Amino acid sequence: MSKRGIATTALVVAALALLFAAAFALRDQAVGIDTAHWMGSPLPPCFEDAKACGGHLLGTDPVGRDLLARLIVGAAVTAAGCLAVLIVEAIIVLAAAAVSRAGKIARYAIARLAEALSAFPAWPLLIVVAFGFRLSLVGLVAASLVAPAAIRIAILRPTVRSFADRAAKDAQRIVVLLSTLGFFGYGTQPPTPSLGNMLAGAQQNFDVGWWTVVFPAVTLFAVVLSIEVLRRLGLRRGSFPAPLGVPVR
Amino acid sequence: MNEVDPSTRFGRFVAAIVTLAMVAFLTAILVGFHPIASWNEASLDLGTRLFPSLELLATALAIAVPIGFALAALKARGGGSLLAPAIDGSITVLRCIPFFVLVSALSVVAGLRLGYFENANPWSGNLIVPAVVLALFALPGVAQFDFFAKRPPWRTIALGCRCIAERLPQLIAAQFLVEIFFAWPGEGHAFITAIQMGRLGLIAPIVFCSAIAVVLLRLLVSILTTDSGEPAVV
Repeated sequence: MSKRGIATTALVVAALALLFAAAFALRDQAVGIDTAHWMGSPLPPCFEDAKACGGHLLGTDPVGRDLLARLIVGAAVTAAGCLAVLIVEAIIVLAAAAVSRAGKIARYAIARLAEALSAFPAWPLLIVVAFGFRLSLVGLVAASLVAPAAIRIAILRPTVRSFADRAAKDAQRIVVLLSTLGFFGYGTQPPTPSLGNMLAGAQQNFDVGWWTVVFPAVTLFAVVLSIEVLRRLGLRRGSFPAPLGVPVR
Repeated sequence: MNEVDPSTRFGRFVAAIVTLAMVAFLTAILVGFHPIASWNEASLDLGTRLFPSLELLATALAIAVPIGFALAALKARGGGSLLAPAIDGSITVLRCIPFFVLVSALSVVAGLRLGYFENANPWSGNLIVPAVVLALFALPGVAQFDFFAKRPPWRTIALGCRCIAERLPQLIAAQFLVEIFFAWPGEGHAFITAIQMGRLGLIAPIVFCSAIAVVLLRLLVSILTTDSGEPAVV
């Protein structure tokens, strides 16, 4: 691995460690209601009203829980979910790669299965699974739905660079998928925050307090953008595995 | 395995049949344990909602493709200037905004500023607003396509069609979101209504049909571009 790749990996590990440590420290604050200050409506951020904010830097959510703590814990929960799905995806890709070594028929079957999986619209199918089956199956199905591109790489062009690029793209996709699921009320359930469930009911909450919607949305955008920036940093010197716009073959 | 070699037209056809069988199998596993309540009801529901969905998708692509092409042309011509990185940066930012957040925000804006959801308003039920929002999802993919690589025009069109076919599932998922937030009477709206009513039996045909449409479109594009000099998608 290149020096740039090692540095990017170290940066990711350090950022995740810091995020999980902060989330562990703030876990009680994220679910506890500030009964001393909350008067039935969300407290504003300190930069908007220093007297009314009750010491909550970014204000509180509609039921009086510290928004900053919830954002940190929510980001950690989303990151943990994303890592779990990525690990399951890696296992699926390894299994597919191993099976495809068995011969032409196995390779053909794996390629067709990957193609079939990639034909489903992802979040609607995940909602169906979350709705009709056990929630624990969602991670497995999410991993299966994002795995096809990585399976194609494993079959056709297995290089560290192409896998790293794919993993970053899949991480972005998984974060958005899990958040969409949370937004519709599936996945992580309140009071435990996730970036998706904090945005549930956003259209109603916006009238009550804009910060209860804007900060989670900006955090989610920042998470996805950070992954994109890290992906580009890590792969800057070499070419991308496929020219932009051309499907992986 | 020569007779099912995916680089031949016949091979691609066989591959699509095998893939369709797998789509049916996967749908049966993931959704099909809940029996379809009534085939008549399901087919009627799908049939009436299919045209509005296709209309929305086609309009969105009709908006996204020329704008994406224009952005790609500006980017290609703006070589040394700040224009190229500015366009590239804007496209990256647009791509990184989770689409459900964007649609949710834009539906609020459309509701408040354009009165989209008010019956008396001329914008009410208008196709353009949701199509523009859906076009925002397709735009980054189109703008990042390399239109100006040295190759014959027909091959650029073939590659473009293949890219759209590859990204169709994401586009359909995005379309579902647009239909839900803008109350557009398409398949996505039917999907969320069925979820809210707890009728998984009505969802199975929607998921199955959208996956089948993707496989068939990919087959069509694949067969039409067999002689484009591009190797088959394995």
